[in-house]
Amino acid sequence: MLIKTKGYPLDFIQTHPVTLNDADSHLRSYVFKFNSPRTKLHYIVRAELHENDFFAIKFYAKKDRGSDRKYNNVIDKGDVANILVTSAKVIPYLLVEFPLASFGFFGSRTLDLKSDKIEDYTNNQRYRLYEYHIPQLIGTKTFAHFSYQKGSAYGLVNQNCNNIMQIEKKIREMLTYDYPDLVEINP
Amino acid sequence: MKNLTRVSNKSGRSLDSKGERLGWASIKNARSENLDLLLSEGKFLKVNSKREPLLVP
Repeated sequence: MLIKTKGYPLDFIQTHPVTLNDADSHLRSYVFKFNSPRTKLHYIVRAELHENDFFAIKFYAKKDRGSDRKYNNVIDKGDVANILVTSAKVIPYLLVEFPLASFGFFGSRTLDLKSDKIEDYTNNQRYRLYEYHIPQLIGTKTFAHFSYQKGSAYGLVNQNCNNIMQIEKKIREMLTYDYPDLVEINP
Repeated sequence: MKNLTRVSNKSGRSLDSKGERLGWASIKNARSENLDLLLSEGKFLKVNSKREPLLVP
């Protein structure tokens, strides 16, 4: 389905410093918010800056902010396109200050609380949404697109960097070193 | 013996939860994998867009 919506206004809230528990390569987080009049929920978008000018983009409903599983919950109130478009707006925003930045989206596994079951980590539904929608939002002049179906991740490596493949490898090695158990779910 | 049939709503859709319908694993049996392996088979995508991207060229 072609995206026709422009999303909602995205507001920058603040920059968060890292905590003691954060990974070594994580430098700080840029926090944004928006509201969906359709779901009637507020959402938080976090752009977590790492070394190599890499941002991991995460978003969740504000009401879930206290939950360890906020990235795994499904709100199920629709408005997916608007939420995706709005969350992706952090990219042009951050490119102003970080013109060589690369970005990544990781598809968290969905939890079905009704049956206590969890989606597999490969080719999950969030990843499929990213794979289909991100190319409609972000072009190939600025970014080289990488797909990691096995891990349900989608990467955008900045074309203005020298040697894109080397940058991709550096980012990948950094993330696998700092987040080796990213797909693990604790019961 | 009572004939046990799957319960469904009027449209015939099963009332099983999504996880049950799609055969997801239980949380305590969920498999995991080291991120190194999961990101090792990345693919450079040749994106053919039919129109200008909405946010960044």
